[in-house]
Amino acid sequence: MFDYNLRINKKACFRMTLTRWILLGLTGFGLLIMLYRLLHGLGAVTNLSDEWPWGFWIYCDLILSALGACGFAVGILGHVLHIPEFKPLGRRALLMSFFCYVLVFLVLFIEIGRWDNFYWFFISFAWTSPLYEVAICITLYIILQFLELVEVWGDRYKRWVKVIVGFFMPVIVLLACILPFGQEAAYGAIYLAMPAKLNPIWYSQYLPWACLITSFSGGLCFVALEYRLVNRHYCKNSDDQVVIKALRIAGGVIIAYLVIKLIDLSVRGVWGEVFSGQTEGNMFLLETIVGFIIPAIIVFTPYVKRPVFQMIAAACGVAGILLNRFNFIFTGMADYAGVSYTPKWTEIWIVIGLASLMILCYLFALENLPIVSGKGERHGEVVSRPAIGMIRPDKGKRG
Amino acid sequence: MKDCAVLFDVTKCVGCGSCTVACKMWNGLPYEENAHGYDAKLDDKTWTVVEYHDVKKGKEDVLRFAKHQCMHCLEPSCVAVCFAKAITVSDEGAVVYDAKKCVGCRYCMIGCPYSVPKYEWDKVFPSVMKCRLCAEKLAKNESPACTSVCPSGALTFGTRDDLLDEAWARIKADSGYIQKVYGETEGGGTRWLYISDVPFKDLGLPEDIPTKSIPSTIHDYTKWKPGIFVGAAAVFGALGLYTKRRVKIENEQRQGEGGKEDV
Repeated sequence: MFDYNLRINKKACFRMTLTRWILLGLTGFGLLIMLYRLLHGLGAVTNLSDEWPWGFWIYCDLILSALGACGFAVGILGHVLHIPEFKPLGRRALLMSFFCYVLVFLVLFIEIGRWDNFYWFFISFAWTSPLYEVAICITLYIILQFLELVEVWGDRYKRWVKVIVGFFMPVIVLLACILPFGQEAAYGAIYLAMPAKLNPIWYSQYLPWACLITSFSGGLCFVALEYRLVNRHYCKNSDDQVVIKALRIAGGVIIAYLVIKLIDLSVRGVWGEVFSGQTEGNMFLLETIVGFIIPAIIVFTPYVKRPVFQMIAAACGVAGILLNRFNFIFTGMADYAGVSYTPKWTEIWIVIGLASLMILCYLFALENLPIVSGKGERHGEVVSRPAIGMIRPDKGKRG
Repeated sequence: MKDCAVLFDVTKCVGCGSCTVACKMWNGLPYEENAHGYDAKLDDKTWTVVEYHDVKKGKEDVLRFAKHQCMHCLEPSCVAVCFAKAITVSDEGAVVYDAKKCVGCRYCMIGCPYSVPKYEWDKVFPSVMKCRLCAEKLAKNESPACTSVCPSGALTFGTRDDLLDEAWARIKADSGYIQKVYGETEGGGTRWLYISDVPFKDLGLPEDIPTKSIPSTIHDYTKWKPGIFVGAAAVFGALGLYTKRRVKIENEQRQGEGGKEDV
């Protein structure tokens, strides 16, 4: 099968490089603005208004959740369908997904106006609200992912923890593969409440299901991207077949999405809007061509065998998610809002700060937990090709 | 009184703005310039406005006044989408908000088809602000503040069924009216009903609101969810066991053939 890369020393270590110091600085800066926001309210740090009650932060929540679907996509392929290539990806996808969702949760916390009341939603049971479904599913999902990570931690540090949590793993994994059907679709369902506001190109009864399937393909593209980037620094050799298989499955899902969208647009007769030359139509074409058609073409042609094209396809797949969510949050709503909205610098820097914190946590976990695996790697074997911002395990300081 | 409603007859409104003043006085809101006029605009301190509109009636240029406030839908979108059940419908039918339960997600603002709820952006712990149809007055069998002060008879308070009959009686009696009661079917129906002699969209009332209510649109999605969770659990559980066994058998076969790979 496969081995996880483990260094010999069992003490956690994290060597600070210049990049990491910069990330730490950004974290500090972001947390300061976050504190200012909590003490002074939304008006002080955002450009949100009665016309644009939702803005940049909601956008971050939606894209991070969609990319965080990587855990759920790999979980289904590796641990439900037991496709051998995806088993070694499980923990890597889990780690990325976990930090994406923690970031979603943090951004949601600063996004809500009355953070002193935030606990209320746990006990409100407002099942009619898609946003409630999102919040409750994410909360449960983070707990499940945390348990999965505890098992990974136990794998290296405490065997008995692994044995105990491992006993419940089949149930935890099964639940973790089902719950995201809740939040990923509910993100689209949020916009079902705007029939008279959202542009008909995106407003459709199928929006929740479109969000669900695009999050699946986007998550897989995200994993493919992560696999290449992380392997460059943490693993001697990477397996092309894993990337190709992930991208091919993502491509299949993308084609299913395109067919559904094609039928949906035809049935509702909004092709006129798409080709009207207006901003909305052009943005939709951009989203569809860059984010969905290009990756689908690459993965089903021989180009997919070349690493450069694999990276392009994966990056386009991720860009498709970013553009699609951008379009139905901003582009499709702009006409109704009537006024323009540009996020204030503080809105953006809070997210950059929190994201830097998550990246640092992610790197720490990546280097100290048995996450990355590679063929031919052995426990404690030295990994070559260190780079800026990445640790060289053979020279890592203790402490 | 159950099933409260208000009928607003655009042809009778003289644009005096008394209703906006009464609203502010009863609810203790500070006076602002934007409560009536051409630039009138709802905000956190102004729960009702009287907008001035220069509109075309046939070939004629006319001035019309339109009062805007929460429409108090029969099936309110804000109640359904609220994250924390902070918005509820009172016994009399008023859609009321409870700041104590509000988490501040602002979904009601974006989910309202008329964009009525407004936010106290400058406060540390802001509340959503909107017309409450003077719910505490309704509970005492009194009419809302705005309807009680209208000097021209443009606002009529009553039960929704009576007011719908009244509205159609007025429309039938005078051919000048548009053949429609705005609010009768919009988004499943509202408690504020409008009749007018000029097109409703010229008065700032959105005409593209589907007759199907937003809560039922969302329910069309939500109703699949329990089935999807249970179905996915069953399918994934079964598939997981099946594929696990298949991988195991494949490995055993490979081992039987002399391969050394283990699971």
